[in-house]
Amino acid sequence: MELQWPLILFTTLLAWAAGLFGAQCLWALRGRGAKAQMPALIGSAALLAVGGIAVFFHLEHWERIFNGFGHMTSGITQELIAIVVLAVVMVVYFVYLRRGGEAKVPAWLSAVGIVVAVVLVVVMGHSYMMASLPAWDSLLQIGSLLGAACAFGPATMALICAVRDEASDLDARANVIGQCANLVLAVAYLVAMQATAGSYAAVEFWFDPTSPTLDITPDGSTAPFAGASVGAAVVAIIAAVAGAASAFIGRAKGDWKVWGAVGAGCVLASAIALRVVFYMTGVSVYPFF
Amino acid sequence: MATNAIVTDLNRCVGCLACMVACKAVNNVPIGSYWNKVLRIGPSKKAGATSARDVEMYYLPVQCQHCENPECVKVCPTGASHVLEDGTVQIDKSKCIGCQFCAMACPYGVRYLNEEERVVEKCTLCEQITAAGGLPQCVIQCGGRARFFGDLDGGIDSFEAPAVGYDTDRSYDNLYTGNRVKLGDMVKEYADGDVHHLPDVGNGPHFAYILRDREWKGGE
Repeated sequence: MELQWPLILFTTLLAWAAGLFGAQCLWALRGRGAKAQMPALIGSAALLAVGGIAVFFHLEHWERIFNGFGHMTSGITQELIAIVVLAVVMVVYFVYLRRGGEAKVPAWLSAVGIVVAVVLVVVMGHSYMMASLPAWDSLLQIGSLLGAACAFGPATMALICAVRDEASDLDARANVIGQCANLVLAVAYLVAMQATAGSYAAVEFWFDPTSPTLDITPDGSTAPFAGASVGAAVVAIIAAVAGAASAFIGRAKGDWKVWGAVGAGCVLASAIALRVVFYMTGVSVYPFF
Repeated sequence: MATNAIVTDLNRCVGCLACMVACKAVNNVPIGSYWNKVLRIGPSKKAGATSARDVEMYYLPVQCQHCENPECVKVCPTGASHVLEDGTVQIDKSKCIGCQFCAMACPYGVRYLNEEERVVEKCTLCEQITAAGGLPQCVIQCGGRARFFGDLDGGIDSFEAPAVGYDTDRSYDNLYTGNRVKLGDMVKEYADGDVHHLPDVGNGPHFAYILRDREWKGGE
């Protein structure tokens, strides 16, 4: 399948938005990073907005979006509902931040924020689980997005906290756990994609009179570690390893202005590369038409 | 409710591609896009082959299979893709936002984006003709009289194609009132095991293919 850049940006930025909002809720629950709460909320809202705008570039007739929109079995509809719910929780969160002063967000709201952030990422990943595309139809695909959110959030939150002179022990712990989770889940999904290589219909020899010289997988391969997908798969792994390394270095040096930014950059590179592989391996189970 | 579909007798298909051409002509399918394609499957060695020349092959017309549980309908956010009373899957172009998730969800890749109208299209099973009692154009034009159209609820022996014979009335108009031959009266005997479907990943393809004395390739 051709690379769908609006969708690659949409999924990556939404994972970032959900991860950052979830992280700031975690920081609030632990009573850390009070001065970082409002910048983090603005950041996650901006990421959500930019991701939402990006997805419109994928639609050929976005002006018809509410022309019957709302078919509940559609993953797109479910995504929109989850985004609206997260936006509503963000607004409530904003109101509490403004009314109660710094770090006065109630624990229940922080808990709800974490749950809604996780639900958004799960719903987003689930909308791409299609039986027609073996490489996509895996729970580990959702896991890879959750991993990205777990790494994006703490890295960005630690960076903001460092800028606001609010470093805490949570920075190191959350970053190490989040970055390691991202590495493990990204590699696990790549392995899962590789394992689907034998899931496609095979007919030995065949001929399509309309495309006599076209390979059935012109953009790469049905597996991430073969053909044109290899480069992006390797980048995804290396960037995820670098992200994990940045968390350990940040823990050792305590300079999260640098290592938070480096960590977030590594997750961005890893997540985008993984989504590139995702589209390159997005080949129909019956790939002959 | 009905379950309209096409059954193709692959032992009769000669690979003339007339169904492909007829479909493009009657449905104004854009250059480079197809609602129906005839693939050649093979040549592959026969079971127990003793030489490289001992091979077999068949032609396989592929199009929208108008499935029982169409994934394309499930993922459509606006209901543009929907199932009609006659069991066929159709697209309301005025509702299509061009998200192309239906094209991704189709196991057979038979949907495509019409670049000019910026909506997704595919085989309609010639709804504009069949709703008036006629036959799909690919069935009418089939050069090997291999394709038959009908309601699965009546069994595939009841499926129909234009009548054959040198003295047959060949006008299209009379196909709306009869002038047809039934699959059960036309094709050679087949067993239940000779009736195949494209791979089913939970979508339940309605179209069927009859293939005797050769190995069906690609799974079901």
